[in-house]
Amino acid sequence: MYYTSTNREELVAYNEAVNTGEGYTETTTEWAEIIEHPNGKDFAILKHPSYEAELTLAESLGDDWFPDSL
Amino acid sequence: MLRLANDISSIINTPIDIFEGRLNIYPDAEVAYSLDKLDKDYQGSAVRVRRSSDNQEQDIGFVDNLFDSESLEAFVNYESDVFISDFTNGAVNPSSGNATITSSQTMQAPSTIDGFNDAMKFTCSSETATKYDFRVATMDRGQLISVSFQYYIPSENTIVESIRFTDLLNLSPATFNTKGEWTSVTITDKEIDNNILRFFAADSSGATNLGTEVTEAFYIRNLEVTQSTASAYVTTWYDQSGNYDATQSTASRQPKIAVQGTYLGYVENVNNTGFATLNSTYAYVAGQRFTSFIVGQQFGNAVFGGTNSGSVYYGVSQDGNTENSRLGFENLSSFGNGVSVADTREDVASLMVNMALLTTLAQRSVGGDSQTLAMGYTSGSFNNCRFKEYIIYNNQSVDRAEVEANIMEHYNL
Repeated sequence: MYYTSTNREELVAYNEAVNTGEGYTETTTEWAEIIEHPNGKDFAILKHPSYEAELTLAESLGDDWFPDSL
Repeated sequence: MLRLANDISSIINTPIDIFEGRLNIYPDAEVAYSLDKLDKDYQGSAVRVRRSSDNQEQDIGFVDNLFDSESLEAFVNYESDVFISDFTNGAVNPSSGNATITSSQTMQAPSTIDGFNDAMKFTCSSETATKYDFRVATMDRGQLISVSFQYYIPSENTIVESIRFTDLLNLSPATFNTKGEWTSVTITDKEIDNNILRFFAADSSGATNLGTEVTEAFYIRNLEVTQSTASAYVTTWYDQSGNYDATQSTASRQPKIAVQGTYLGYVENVNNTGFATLNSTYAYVAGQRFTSFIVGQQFGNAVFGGTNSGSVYYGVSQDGNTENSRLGFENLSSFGNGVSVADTREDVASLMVNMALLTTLAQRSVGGDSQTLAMGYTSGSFNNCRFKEYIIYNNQSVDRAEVEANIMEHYNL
């Protein structure tokens, strides 16, 4: 499950909320990285199973998100 | 004479470590990741892992030159508090642990009933809902948890006549229905199949759909929820050649090494999050010939010779696709368990469906940029691969057949 948004900052805030809640230490520094769609307008982040947000939820990301796919 | 006898006795009784690792027999590897020890002089650990229950990390090393799975499982199976109630102080939030109680209904604490004043009263109260529950969140789905509490269902209740759990697998009975007295419940080591643990108000048959406008209550005290297993994820796979550790600092991209408290026997990429893999700074330099030995297995589409670029790879395993298994590499030869295989994805797939040794001789294409090593694909969904060992020599002078025989004997391939 992914949260998607055209506002990258919303996803940054979600990631930081998870990071704070989980209290990652040592070699682990963050929950996920924000994925940018090749169109440059859409962004996505993997949903943490324990953290909800009022963002658009997508079951998966289509191939158009990964044009580099084999 | 006595001293000499003692010295000889001491020598005879001292175990002699005759272990010779692959790096001792075949030195000068550029990278050497393995769950077992490869060098008798290596003093470091095999991997560093993160525990899913509380994100603590620990290095795991070797015992008798093999992976110390016992230490891994001891670390992972640490019993952690998820929720310990503090209803006496009026709190429906925990006094310890990392969970909270949430509910769309009404909760009141402390409440007094049947001689105890440290209870939490849960009251069904909705004009629209048909199911009524309070829940402990957030649970580590898939792990084993234990729950203990005491409950009290008033004798006069005619609708809410039991409490039912629906989020624990293989729980029998799942419904508790004693009325008019405090009753203790202890549930031990059941798998949680949700990220919440719900206490449903239920009728005498255990049904949770009670209809709207129910106003009856039940009581809970001394609620404790503990988690006794966890998963472990690899944050670092140490390079036993001492050159390039493979790391992943993003939690969702770290590969698994233990699930539900049990060592898997390999490092398994997580495929539901694109890019999930371990990365190292070892570079496949254009024109530099190399020999790689990868002990691994596919469980779907997989890239075994991944790089930091999604468009440069070798060792692609994909059933039904006869395209070449490499891109961006040239002068390539592949061997499966020591036997020459063709350069197609189907060949690699048929080999790697079981745990196997994939040997590759190649070089990064001349004129191409250098690419660094990734254990899997760095985009999309070709990360269905497991690894036990990953060794690269920056030459093709190493005796391939001897190394293969050594590896296959060690892993019984």
